[in-house]
Amino acid sequence: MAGSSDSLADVLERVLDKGVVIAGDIGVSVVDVELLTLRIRLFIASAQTAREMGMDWWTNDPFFSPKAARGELENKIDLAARVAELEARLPVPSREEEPR
Amino acid sequence: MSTGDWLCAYAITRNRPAGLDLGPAPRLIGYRDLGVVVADVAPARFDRIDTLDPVDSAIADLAREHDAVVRAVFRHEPVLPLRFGTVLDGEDAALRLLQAAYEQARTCLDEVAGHREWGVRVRHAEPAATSRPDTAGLSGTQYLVRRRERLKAIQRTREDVVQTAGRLDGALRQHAADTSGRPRPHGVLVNTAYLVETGREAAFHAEFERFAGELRDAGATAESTGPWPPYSFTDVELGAAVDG
Repeated sequence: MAGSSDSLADVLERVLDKGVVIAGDIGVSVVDVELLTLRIRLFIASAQTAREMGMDWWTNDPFFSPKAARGELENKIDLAARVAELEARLPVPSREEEPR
Repeated sequence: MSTGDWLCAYAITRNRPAGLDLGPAPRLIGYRDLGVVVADVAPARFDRIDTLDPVDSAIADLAREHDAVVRAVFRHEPVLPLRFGTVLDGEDAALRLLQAAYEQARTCLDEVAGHREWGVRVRHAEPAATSRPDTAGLSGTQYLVRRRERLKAIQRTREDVVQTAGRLDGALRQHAADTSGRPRPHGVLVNTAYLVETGREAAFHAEFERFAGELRDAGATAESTGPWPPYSFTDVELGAAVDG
């Protein structure tokens, strides 16, 4: 299949997709199985959390990588799109009115 | 009560150690007809993993290891990848994990047996709608006409691409046993995982190529990844048997 290449980003996207297992996650749900009592602070990052944390490096879009500015950026883009949409609807003045 | 023998668990598979070629470190712990693939691990390797940058090499190394072990199993047997960073407290814990997940894991293994996962991503970077035409020598009317034409062209292209991407997805679904939507960052129209029976892969790929060409012509890019172990189709709830 052309274009099939599993880059590190692809591997990370899939392997980390479900997040990282939390010790307590399993420990709590499986009866008296203390799978992990260690104080390693593994945390769950659901895909959503991962995105919130800026783990969406797979976007490959440098435009969006500065995560701090992202919200603001998206607002701007929305606005720009809206302006463009409105401009598209502007009536074009008829020929007689065209300035010379 | 820790045994101190920490095991990193990678995947659940069938209890057929003879057929596996896992390399020196990972081993199979069996329970009835299922097995979990584990390797001794120093838990310190997972220390502070939540504070590391995801592209940090420590996480990248661990993730690659995880993927390598899962793939090694996948070459010979159906596999249910476990969540990254599943660390168990000794072999007894591994056995209890298998007991708890037994029914669900068995069903799930049967479902993914003979299938592989393929990823398909369609991106479309459209020209900025805010760019202005060259205004030199244009009257106001001409300017507006050009600008409107340009915006309409952008919108037509967008509609074309979205429509083609939709048809691509529809066509690929015909050849897939299951699909799973994956996160779509900005500019990504489709990011879907398809679980495809190996016998239908040729048809799946032919369909992909057909639409990939069409999408390229429309100014978008379609890429595929795989084959993957069924990462996107095996969400084993380890506690389900107990909670339910």
